[in-house]
Amino acid sequence: MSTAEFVQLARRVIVGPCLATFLYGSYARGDFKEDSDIDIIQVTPAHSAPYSAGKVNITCYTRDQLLRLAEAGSLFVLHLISEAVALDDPAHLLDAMKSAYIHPTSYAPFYEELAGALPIVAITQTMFDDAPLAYAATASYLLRSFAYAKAVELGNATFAMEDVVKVIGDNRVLVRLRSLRLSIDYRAFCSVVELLFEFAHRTFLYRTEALDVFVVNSYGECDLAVVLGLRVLSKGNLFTYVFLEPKS
Amino acid sequence: MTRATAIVGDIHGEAGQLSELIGALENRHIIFVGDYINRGSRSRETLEQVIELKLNRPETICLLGNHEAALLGYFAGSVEFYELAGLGGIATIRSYLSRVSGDVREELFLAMPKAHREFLQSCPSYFESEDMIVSHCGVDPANPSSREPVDMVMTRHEELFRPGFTPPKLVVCGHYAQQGGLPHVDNNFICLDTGCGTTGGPLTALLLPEREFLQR
Repeated sequence: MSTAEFVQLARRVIVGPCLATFLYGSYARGDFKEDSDIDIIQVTPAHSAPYSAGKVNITCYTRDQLLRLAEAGSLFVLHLISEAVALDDPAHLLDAMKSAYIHPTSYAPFYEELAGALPIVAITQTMFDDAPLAYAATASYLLRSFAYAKAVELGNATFAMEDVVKVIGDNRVLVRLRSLRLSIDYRAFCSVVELLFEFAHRTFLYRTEALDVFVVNSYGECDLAVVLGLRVLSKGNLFTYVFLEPKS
Repeated sequence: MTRATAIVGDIHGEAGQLSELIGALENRHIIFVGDYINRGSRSRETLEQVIELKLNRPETICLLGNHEAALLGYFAGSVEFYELAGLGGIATIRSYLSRVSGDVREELFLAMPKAHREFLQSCPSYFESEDMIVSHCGVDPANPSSREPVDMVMTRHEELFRPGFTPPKLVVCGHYAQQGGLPHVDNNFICLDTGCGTTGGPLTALLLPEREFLQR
C-alpha cells in the first residue's frame, strides 16, 4: 500500500477528534507479513482508549503525552521518530518529538521497570489458561522491550525484530516470539518467560499472590506492572487508563 | 435563588485543594457534584472532610458521582477490579490500605469505616430546584425530563457541549474534565470539572446567585 492509501485507510477507521495520525510498525518499515497488524497512532485532544478496526490497531495519545515521553527518552517515542510515517500531521508533531527527544543516559531504570512487571507472567498453567492471549501478549511485550532497549544501548535504534536480534546477537528472542505467536500455548509461553528472567538477571519464582493483589501493591512502585496487570485482568477488554510509560 | 450557594466540582482525592476551597466558603450552602474519590492520592481524607462538613452543616448536599457508584458496584460485585482500577480506583484502595494480601474487595470493605460506606450509599443522584438542576453528568438533551440515575450519574452526554443546547433552567454538572482548568459556561449550562485530581487542574466552585467562580 502507498502512503496515500494508508491516509485513506486512516480516514475510514479513525473515530473521534484527531489532531494527527502516524503509521508505525511493520507497515511503516515495509517489512510486514500477511498476518501483520497495521499500527496507527491517533493524536487526540484528551486521553482516549485504544481501539481496533479489523487488523488496524489505533492507539491514542495526546500531544503533551508524546512530548513528555520524548523528553523522558521513551523507547516508544524513539520507535516513532525512527520509523513512523506521518499520515496527517498539520502541526508537525513528529518534528516536535524529534526535537524534544532526549537520549537517556542509562537504560538501567527501564530494565528495573520491566523486571518489576515480571511476576505478572511468572505463573502456573492454570493461571495461564485463565487468560492465555493476554498473558502471551504481556510476555511478548516485555521480551520485545528488553530486546529493543538492548539494541538501542548498542547504538542501533532499530525496531524490526529480525534486525534487533542481529544487533544483540541473540536469535532466541525471534525464535521464541515467533513460536508463541504461532501457537499460544503454555510451553511456548514458558520459553519466552524463561528468557525474560535471564535478561532481567532474576531468579524465576512463581507469583503466589492473585494478580489484583500484585497490581495494588505495585501501585506507586512500578507503573508498568500496574498497566500490564490491568490489561491481563481485563482479558483484552479495552478500558481507559492513563498510560504511564516507564521513564528510561 | 436568593440563598448564597456554592456548587463544588469533581475533587478526585485532592483533599488539600478541597480543604482550601471549603475554607473560603464558610457562609454558603454547599452542593457537591460528586466524584470525591479515585485518581488523587488522598481519597480517604477527602471523604473524611466531606462527611465532617455534612455533619457540621447538615443542609450540605453531596451528590453521587460515577466514581462513587463504581466503588459501590465493586463492593456489590457488579463492577470488576480492573474496571474500578481503570477509573483510578487503586489510589482509593491505597488510601485505606498500605498493602493488600488476599481478597482486595473484602480487605477494602473492612478497612473503609462504616461511616464512609454509609455516606456513599446515602448520596442522591441529583438536586433540583425551581431554577436549576445539579447532577454529576448533567441531563440527557434527548430526554431532558429523565431523572434516572443512569442519566444523572453514569452516562456521558457529550451533546450538552454542542452549540445551541439551551436548557429551560440552569444545568450544573461535573464529570467532563475541561482542558485548561476553566469551567465550561454556555447558555444555562455549566460544567465544573476543571481537572482536579485528573489533569492537575484546580478545584472549582460556582458561586450563586453571583454566577462567579472560585478556584483552589
